[in-house]
Amino acid sequence: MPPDKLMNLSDAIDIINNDDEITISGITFFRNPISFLTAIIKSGKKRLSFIDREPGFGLDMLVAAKLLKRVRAAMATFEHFGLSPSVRKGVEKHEVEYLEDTCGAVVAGLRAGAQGIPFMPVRGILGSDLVRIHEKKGTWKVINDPFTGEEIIAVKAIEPDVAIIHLHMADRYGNAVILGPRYEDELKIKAAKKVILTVEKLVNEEDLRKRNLELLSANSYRVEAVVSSPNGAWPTGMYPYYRPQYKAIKEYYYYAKNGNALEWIETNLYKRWS
Amino acid sequence: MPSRPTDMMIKCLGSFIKDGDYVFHGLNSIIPQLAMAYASLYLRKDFIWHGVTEQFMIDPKSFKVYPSSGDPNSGKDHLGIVTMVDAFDIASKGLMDLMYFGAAQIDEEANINLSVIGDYENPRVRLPGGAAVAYLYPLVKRIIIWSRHDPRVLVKKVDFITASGRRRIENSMETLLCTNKALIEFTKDGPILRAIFEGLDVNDVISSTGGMRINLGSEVGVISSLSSNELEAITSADPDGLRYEENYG
Repeated sequence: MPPDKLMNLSDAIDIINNDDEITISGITFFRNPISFLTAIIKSGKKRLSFIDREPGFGLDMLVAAKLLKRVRAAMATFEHFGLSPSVRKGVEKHEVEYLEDTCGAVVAGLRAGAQGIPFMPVRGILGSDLVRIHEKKGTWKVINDPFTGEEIIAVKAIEPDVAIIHLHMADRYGNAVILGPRYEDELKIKAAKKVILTVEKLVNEEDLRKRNLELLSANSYRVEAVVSSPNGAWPTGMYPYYRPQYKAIKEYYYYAKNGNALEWIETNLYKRWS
Repeated sequence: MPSRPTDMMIKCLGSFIKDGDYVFHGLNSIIPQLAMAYASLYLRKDFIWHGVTEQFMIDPKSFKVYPSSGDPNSGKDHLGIVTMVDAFDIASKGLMDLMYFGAAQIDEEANINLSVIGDYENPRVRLPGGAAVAYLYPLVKRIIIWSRHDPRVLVKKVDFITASGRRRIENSMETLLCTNKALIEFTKDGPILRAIFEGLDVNDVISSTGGMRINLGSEVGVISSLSSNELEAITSADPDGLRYEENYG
């Protein structure tokens, strides 16, 4: 048997060190690991960096709590409700450094990270002012295709220190199943140096054997910790288990816009998973 | 009674979907989702409907928009999950037919800005970011942009080029802009007015920009108000009227 990875939230938090680069599962209002992010906020971790493709609620919480020194994302949005309120404020006030990325490049970087290779070429993008920004940061470089000479962007491998992935079910060893949309979460699991799973349903090996035609989105070999966390994505959605709570998300949005995000987090999240 | 500009935009955007197309939408895209619903439920176009929900749909029987365009509860009768990552690969091989993008600013060269108003390092407004636009704009065969017809949006030159229009124009890749007043095509000769919404005046439309010079086409068409059946198809996918909260009128 592989080692048992089952932990409670407070023990799993210790896997994250100050100054780590983290990534999280899901998109804007879906499958964000909110129980874990709430525990990070309570823990007082510092100077974290955050990388993701299309974050929303989870990222805004971390920026509001001033845990982040740097954000790299292709889009940070509250969609129909408006701009990500704390991210916007944090960047405009220079409280957090923001590196805008683009989806294809994030995926390319994660692919390189997943494969253990230094970079991945990606089409498109040329002509965008983002090229200048990323070349300065050292995250992209315009290179020539060694076969045709064509200009193409090389994206440096993305290997976050920790990926925190909320998913539908896993056994205590880290063999896990995502139902429905996957986004780029399986790449994040493969690219990250450490993987923490928070799960709606803790299952045993027999449960997995019964459904063994499904893809294992994570497996025990790659996972550092498994945390049982029913409703752990709330208020983001967990399709098909539960819908996003748009009323709560909208309420948070207005609290955050008025600078009161932490008050909302304390009232609505702090005791939810204790 | 003339239709609301929001519904005219949806009709305009949806009318570009052809049978056999692979059509994709991103996040924050209620208007494109409804354009796809219009094309599917009213125009009965036979196309692959894919988006950030990762649901792969053909001829869905019903559809409903939510505050997130990534909500998998929107379409119930999808065939299965095809990931965003796979969609990006399809686009990278030049096989994606049509996609919709929004713009906070767009200029005469069809450059899109979704990043910052002002300087990148010291922005007056930090916008949400372009998501996939920088990546996909040079790759997708036909792109329809949607935006407000507003001097702050239709500018001579964008503050920041999130996605470059130059290569699209040079390569004659179809690039259109549907505002809440008109349809404009980007060409090697600059932006050209192709149609205006019923009841509007051409001169008012071309003069209400923030520096973008819009040339008149040899013919300027009129996009007519919606019939009750057209409106019903759109409303069936948006019974709560979220589209009217997107501030297009």
